Amino acid sequence: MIKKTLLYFVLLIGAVSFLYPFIWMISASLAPDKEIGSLVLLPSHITFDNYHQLIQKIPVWRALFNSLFVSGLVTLGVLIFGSMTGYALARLEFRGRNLLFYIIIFTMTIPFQITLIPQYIIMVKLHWTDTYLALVVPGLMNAFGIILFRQYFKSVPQDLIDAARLDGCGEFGIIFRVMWPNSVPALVTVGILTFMASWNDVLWPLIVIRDQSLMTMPQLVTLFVVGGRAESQLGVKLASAVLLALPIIIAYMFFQKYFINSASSSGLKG
Amino acid sequence: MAAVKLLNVRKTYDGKEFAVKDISLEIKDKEFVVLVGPSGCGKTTLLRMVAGLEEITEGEIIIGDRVINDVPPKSRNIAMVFQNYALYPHMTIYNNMAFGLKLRKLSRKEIENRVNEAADILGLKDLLNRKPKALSGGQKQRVAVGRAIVRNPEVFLFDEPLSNLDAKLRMQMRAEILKLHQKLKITTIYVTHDQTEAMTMGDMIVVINNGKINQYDTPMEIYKNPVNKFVAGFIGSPPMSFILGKLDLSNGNIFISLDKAVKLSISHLHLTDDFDGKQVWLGVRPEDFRLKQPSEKTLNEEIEVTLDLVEPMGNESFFHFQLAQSNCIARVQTSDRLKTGDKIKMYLMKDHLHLFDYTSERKL
Repeated sequence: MIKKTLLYFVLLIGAVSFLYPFIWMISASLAPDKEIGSLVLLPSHITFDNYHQLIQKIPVWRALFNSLFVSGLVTLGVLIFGSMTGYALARLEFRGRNLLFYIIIFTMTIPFQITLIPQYIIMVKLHWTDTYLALVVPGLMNAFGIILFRQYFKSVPQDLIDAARLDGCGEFGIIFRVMWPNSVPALVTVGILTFMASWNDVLWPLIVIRDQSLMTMPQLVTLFVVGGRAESQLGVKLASAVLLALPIIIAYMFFQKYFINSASSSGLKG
Repeated sequence: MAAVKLLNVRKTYDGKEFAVKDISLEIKDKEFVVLVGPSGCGKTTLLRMVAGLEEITEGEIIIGDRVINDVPPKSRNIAMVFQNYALYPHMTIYNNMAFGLKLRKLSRKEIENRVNEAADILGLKDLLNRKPKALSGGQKQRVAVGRAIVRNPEVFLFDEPLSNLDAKLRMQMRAEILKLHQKLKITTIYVTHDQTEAMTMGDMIVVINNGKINQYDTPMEIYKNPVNKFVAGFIGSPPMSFILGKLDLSNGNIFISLDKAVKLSISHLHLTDDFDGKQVWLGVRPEDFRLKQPSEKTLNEEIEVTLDLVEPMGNESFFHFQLAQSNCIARVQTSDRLKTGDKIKMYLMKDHLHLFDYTSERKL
């Protein structure tokens, strides 16, 4: 009994320390300016002033659309190309297959900061800066997706693939009509993790996008908050942070089960 | 409908060792041929080469009058049933059967007709809307067969289709597959490691060992006249007993001595003089050991053995015993109350004995 009480107490402390700042952020963004400093959870009255100001100052809706558009395309790309590559690595016989796989794993160990500049130069040479292409194309494929699909596809029985081949499927048919419907957990895991990574990315958009109408949500919010345009109005800053977090929270509410699964099945933190 | 011809077919995975070594085989139109052999003998590899799932390293495979070496699996007009059914888990039974037809762009009406017809034949009508995981093993296998027959293939390939079923169901499915073959008359190649399936199902049996055909003949012929010790031991259940013996040819008589105590006259066999003094394997089918009744008079030499084990099967019993340091099994009618440890007298049906060369293991 004492043990149990102690356990719940520890869990409670953990939950509060994680949740409090978050809840405070939401309530503070709804509070009148002068109440923000007091760290209370319930403002004396709820006001949307901060949000009104935010919308007037920066093109939030446009940025929200940009983020959804970019993250959506990136996720779709990773699912399609990642599963294709993963399938080839898991199921097709060709010379250099293992070498290729090791190289792909190796790319995971290279910090993004190292490839940042070369990648930027490529974007400039392709005249892709300040276009959606710069945001989408480099993200269409990633090593993590490939590896996860490869592992998952390896566990699909060979007979199933052979049966599909005899039924008249080509390799694409096998991937999209047989492997995909039988790999929903892998698709969801890769989908969620890719979408979140893409959604939260700030550094890359900051480098390749200067046109405000193409900016993604985190980029715009970051520039707004630290770039001085918020004019040290804490409430507006918090409102922008809430809008930034909102889509992920909504997605989490719908896909809670998969979020937890994907975090545990990938061996990564969600 | 089509005949299948394999000409000097070989397969190697690493360029060094051959999994299939120079196999030539002619399967007639409408024939049911069973490829049988121990696991790893190359029979499944051979089947997969016919299906187009494995590349053919050397040689030619001909279906009908078309060399199909470079024809992709989907264009070979064959259908295959797999050991673990390989049904698409995400599709209903109807769609499992219809998938291949949809990919071939048949009209919806035509697909519906064919699937319903196959479902009728196989008794799957009520299951068409279910998913595979709601089916029992036997039902799944029936769907797998159904998926094969809706395609109207020229050749049916079966890869150990009954291995995952329990004994009773296996017998039932065996009969069903045979009936289906009699009805559809489609050339069939059936792979199994189970000699009972081979004996009961095949018009012809191909016994394969170490990537080579050992014997290609009718089941009865293979049972009665196995060409070598491997075939003799592999086909038949319980297996043939092998006893090491020494030949003695003198004055036109042929004797084989199994040990000091047992010497049999086998003068009805034809052997050249140079076999004198040679070691050979004597092969005896279980039913060719006879229990000597006390009143019975026989010209055959008696042998006395001690029963190591008695396996009663109901209508018959299997006796395990040692003869000249070899384990032997006899099949006898059970009217007796013999048990383990009893000493019994037996004799051999000498007309049915098999002799195999000691080194080459070929039949003499």
